[in-house]
Amino acid sequence: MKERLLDALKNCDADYAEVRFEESDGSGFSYRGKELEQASTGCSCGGLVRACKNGGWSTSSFDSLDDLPEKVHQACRNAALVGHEKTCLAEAELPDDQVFTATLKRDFRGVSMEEKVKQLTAYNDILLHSTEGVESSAIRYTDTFRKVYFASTRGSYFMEERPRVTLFLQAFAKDGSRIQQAFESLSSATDYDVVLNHEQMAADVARRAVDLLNAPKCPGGRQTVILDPAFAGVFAHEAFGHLSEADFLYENPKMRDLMKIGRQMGAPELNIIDDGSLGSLIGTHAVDDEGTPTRRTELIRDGVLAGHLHSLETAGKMGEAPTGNARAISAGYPPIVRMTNTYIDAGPLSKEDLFAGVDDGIYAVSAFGGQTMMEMFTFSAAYGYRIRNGQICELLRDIVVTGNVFETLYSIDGIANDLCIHETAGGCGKNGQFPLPVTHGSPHIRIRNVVVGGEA
Amino acid sequence: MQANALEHLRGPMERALELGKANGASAMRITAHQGESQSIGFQAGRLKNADGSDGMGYSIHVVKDGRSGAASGNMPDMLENMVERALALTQFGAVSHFTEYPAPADSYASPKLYSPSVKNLSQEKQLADCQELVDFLKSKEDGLDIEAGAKVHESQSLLMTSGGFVGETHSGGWSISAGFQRTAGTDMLFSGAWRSGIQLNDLYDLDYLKQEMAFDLEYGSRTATIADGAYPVYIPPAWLGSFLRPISMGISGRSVFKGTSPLGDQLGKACFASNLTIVDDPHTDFRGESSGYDGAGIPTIRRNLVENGVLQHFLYDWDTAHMASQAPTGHDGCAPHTMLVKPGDTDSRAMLRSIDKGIYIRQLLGFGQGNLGNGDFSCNIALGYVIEKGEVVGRLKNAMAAGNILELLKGDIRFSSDVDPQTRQPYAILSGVNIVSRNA
Repeated sequence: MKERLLDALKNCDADYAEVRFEESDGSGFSYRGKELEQASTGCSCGGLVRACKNGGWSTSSFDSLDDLPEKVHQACRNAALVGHEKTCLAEAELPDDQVFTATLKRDFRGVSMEEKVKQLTAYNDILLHSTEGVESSAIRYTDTFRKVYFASTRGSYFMEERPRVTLFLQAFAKDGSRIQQAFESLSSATDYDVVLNHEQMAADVARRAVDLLNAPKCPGGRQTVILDPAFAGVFAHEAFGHLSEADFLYENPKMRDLMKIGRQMGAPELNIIDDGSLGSLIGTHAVDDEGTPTRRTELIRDGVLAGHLHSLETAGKMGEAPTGNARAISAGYPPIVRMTNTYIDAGPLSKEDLFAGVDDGIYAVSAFGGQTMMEMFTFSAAYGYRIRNGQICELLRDIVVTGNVFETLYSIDGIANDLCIHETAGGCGKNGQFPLPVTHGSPHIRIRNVVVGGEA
Repeated sequence: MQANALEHLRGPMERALELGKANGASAMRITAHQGESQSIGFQAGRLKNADGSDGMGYSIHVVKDGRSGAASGNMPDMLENMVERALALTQFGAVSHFTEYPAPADSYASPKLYSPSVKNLSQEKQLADCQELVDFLKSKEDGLDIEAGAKVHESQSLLMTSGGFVGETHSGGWSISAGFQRTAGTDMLFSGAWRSGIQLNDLYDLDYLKQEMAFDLEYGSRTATIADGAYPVYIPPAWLGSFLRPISMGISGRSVFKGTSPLGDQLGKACFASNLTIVDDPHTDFRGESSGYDGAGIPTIRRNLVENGVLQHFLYDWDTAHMASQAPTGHDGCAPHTMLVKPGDTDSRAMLRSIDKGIYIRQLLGFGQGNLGNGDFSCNIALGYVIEKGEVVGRLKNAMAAGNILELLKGDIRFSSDVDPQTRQPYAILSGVNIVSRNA
């Protein structure tokens, strides 16, 4: 494969060109209610040529390697028609290793379909029958094994195996026309067995769905909110992480000025990090989709803006070092600047200290989802509780918070020491590329004066 | 794209159906798709990229011994292997509520989904038109971060079932868009507009795109506040469909049968305001959502889903219909083809002028992240304006809108007489939406 990809690029007259080719195989099962609704399998291959000439870019996708020479020619020709400036791409070190095979503790490809379905059936029974009042359930299990091959005109080449297994458990409770739901999800790049032994989690999901039926809506208004690590991790990702992606900055002078290294962003206890080389998480890779080795990047250090996330182009044009954050969800898409494993680092306080400082507030737990439009963000908790006099009180539903990231980061007035990083079944979306495997993490954090949606 | 691009797959698909039958499949369906597109993109006010894409794929669904399995791929020479993998899944797979696909119906509607007129849209014209939009924004204000893009696409699909149904579709179209980001300190204003279509006709309207962005450039320059409370909100056609999602989710026959629809016991009942009529129309020519048949070969029909506030239908695909002992309605995934709201009798501008104090919503952020199936929404008003005494007075920042859509649609709702040609939806006013803002 290495020779084939590099050969295809040999006569390329672009300033830079790359080929990514991917083979993917996987399976999925889903329950909805009493029945297994879907059992599916998929196997595909395909790739993308991307070329840059005089600062202009072009991509050309393909299904078969037989088409590769023509696609390289197409991409180079179109890039030349587009570009009218100097190509400026950062230099990146080539990885020492060129073949990155996955190390799976237990490989899901060796687990029988019968065993997978049996496990899901057991979870479904718990979701449906462990708590009275559950009307229905949903379970989604997926496993995929991707082999990504890459070569560029810089002579770099790699092959990386990218396995992933996901599990999503959900329960629906109903009372008349009122319906509530609860869920949990998890994911792993290293071990099928992470989907096992979650009977208690399934039971908790069922119980919570029923409890939420009678939970009041979260009151709207400006509130003090404590975010649990899962929700705070989404906050770090949505509210700040996307703003650190340099493709939003590099050609926009006002944004570059706004996100200038050295800007005070929050309290000195605030540290936010993106680390694509961290352990063996679902957001971890040896190299990104431009062949740049991944690394730890401090985005905020001691409350001060310390770094940006880069591709080769954004790093080149901003005069900074590439960070290994050019990622694509699959070979059919171009790499764009994305996060990997993003987290707020542990702070000095205990969780108890955080709660003790709240007379009346909201404890927001687990994330339902979130979105950002640069400075503006919004995200919703899966559930939460009222805090009174430092104590966790009644269950609440429909907790959605919003705000301006610059104001909100300054409003963080407490960071606990219980950092936890979550690997969930979802992923990050950007420019039509969803879901990209990422993790997010945080300790408990406390934010003052947050806008919470709902009835005022 | 060459004519009959999938013709080379017809024989292999027929043989794959035979293979499935020989291995005990009582029902089987294969869908193949071939598509290609070309696009251009402007970033930071200048041409940045030109991309081409083409690819094919297929999906297989088999039923054997009352259980189903599915497989998908994009390698033609793997088709038979993928049939075998789908068959293997049936051993442990999902319960199928049907054993055979139906024989073809006597007749099907055949809405046009391709127009040769799109061939007249050259890359040179797209480049010139995107440049015109970029130049328009540059002329309006210095310092904007400007993007624009255009795309043409064409695809063919081929559906074969073991019931003998064969459906072929040739579709295509164009799109053009532009947008800008205005940054002032930590305040950012994002605005954009787009149009897309199948025919190259009046929808391809650069003046419309300019007007939409000029509105936000003008009114987004000044901010306004509003006290927390419940207000009428003025919803543009592009967002009305989102506010109907709890209904489209609730009329899914599968959700109804599984007990997860809040509308499950509302069929035939007046559960919305009497001026709400919603039409499912799969037969209009040159609309991407149109189709004469669903994935099982069931004919589609035009019908009112809600008529004068009364819920008329739940929707059933072939499998769900058998599960729920209902007639199939020609809806893959039990989802409607369209949710077109019947217009009202007042012009949209007069409707806006009738609002004493309210909010004009232009963009929402995080709309679907709540319990939308129950009708609940709570989201950021990414771009919205305060309306006072019928006039737009300024941009509302740091605000959230919340409510229960199923309840709001029972109350005071109004729809404009004019309809947006892109979405075929009117403007709407929903009353009693809760607004909370940081700056109140």
